[in-house]
Amino acid sequence: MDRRPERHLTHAATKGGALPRTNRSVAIVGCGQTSLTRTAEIPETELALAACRQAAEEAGLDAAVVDGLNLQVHHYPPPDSAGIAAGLGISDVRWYAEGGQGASALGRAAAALDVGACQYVLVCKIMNTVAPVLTPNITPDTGRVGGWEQFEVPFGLGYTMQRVGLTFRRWMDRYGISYEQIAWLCTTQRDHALRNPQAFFRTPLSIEEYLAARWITEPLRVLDCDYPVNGASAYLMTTADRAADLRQRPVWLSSWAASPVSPFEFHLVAENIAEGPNPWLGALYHDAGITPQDLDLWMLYDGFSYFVPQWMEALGVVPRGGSGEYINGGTRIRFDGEHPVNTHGGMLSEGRLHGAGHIVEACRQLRGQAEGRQAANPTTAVVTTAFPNAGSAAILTLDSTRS
Amino acid sequence: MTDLRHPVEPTSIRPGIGPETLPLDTRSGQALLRKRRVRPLPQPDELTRPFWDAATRGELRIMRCARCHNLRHPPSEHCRSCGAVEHDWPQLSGDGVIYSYVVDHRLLVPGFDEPYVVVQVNPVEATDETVRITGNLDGVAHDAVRVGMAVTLTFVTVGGIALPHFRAV
Repeated sequence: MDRRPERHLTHAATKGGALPRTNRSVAIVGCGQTSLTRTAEIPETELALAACRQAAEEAGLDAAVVDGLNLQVHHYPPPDSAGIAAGLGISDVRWYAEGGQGASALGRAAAALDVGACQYVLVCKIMNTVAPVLTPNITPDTGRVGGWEQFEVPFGLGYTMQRVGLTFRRWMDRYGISYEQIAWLCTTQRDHALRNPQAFFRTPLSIEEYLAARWITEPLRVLDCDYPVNGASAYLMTTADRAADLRQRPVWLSSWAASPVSPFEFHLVAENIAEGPNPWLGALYHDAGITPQDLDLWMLYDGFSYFVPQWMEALGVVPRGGSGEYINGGTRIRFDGEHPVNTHGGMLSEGRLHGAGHIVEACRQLRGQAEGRQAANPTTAVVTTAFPNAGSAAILTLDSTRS
Repeated sequence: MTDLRHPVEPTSIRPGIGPETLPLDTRSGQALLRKRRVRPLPQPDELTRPFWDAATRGELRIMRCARCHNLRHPPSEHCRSCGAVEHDWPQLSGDGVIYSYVVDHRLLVPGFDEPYVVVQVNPVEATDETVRITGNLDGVAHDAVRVGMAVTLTFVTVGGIALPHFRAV
């Protein structure tokens, strides 16, 4: 277990660090996503190939030009990276990264492009419902629990969901956010999913149905949990000079930032999930040269529903404690509202892709290709991953002068 | 390739929220424990033994930094405020306030019947909310629990180990 002392570092980038600036030096030029299924119907190598080929096709590129690869799974064994590269016709992988997720992985791939490690990167997330959930760390033969968990598991506290439930309860109590307001978020995202042909959930969800859903661990209902699926999501990135001549309008990476806090300190910093401080987020706005008010689209990680309003507050797009009121009624966060949220349905209703779906949807919206759920002329999107005190975020923008 | 801006490899993020793998034998072991319905018990170590030894005597003792006098729980080698190693174990009153709680209906750690309440309690002596004692709440209906409720600690002995429980005052 990670025993490092808790840290609250100021991010190097907020001080104008020496890292390469990502402000529009790198773009996403193509996206792909398979259909999402409850059972593992297609081998993961085939899922990855399908998503990657679709991303290259969308960019108007032969996948064989790709020389950087990041494959993300959260199960074991790892994917057949050599088989996937061969299947794409890639003969020379100059940069390879395994694992990671969402905005931080996006930033890592951008950094590889920025330093010239490679020219085209495919980032592919493969989800597999066979992957286990974390179970309480009990020694099977003795029934004993060691480490910090010895103060939790003997009292029936052994799952991540229970621990985030504790932080949500505390936060709801402090700021007065209600179950009905969370219901508006979940039903609005479901409505978005109905407009997304790739989403897993195909039936409408009413406020009453949400409120009647069974409890898993109060204050969390089953509908507050993202939905496990099998599928793959991919996007292709390249440098500014190469991006200019491709089939799609480039979606620029204006900035990204990641929290320096280890998720293993989760149990100690739980209150920070909801209330910060999150100094690392300063880099996000600093490097992009914009303010929270400039963000048109909010693609916010929803592993659990409550992360969405907590991200809104952490990002500063609503005042602290103001997220419940903003969500209420659903009109402001709808695809046709003032700041659309998770227009693909999010992981709650499209399916759990660990934030990869949020990136793909941001690109589709910015390029005006989100048919049936298209927001009105968005130029700037924020994408977040994991939770605010131990997560990552990226700002994606469209070059509005080129059409 | 090292992620320059992310000192922690994101694959270490816990499942449900992020990537993780667990060996299969551990999973089948969990299934076995669930079947036996045995409440898991703490395995005291060098760092935590003073807490459990005091509990056996009916005393709540929490690690306190000898330099900056901040209480910390769970115990850690270094003070989370100033980094010092030196510490003592003052006795607290056992009085506290509920910081937060969950009512578990479904996940069910082995040995617990649904629904059950897990509380986290800030001792009245602690100036820092991060000092939270996790326990179970006895004698209060699960729909009557509230954040901020005043509680006091009692120990319940299971398998020779005194476990902190709370009751409303």
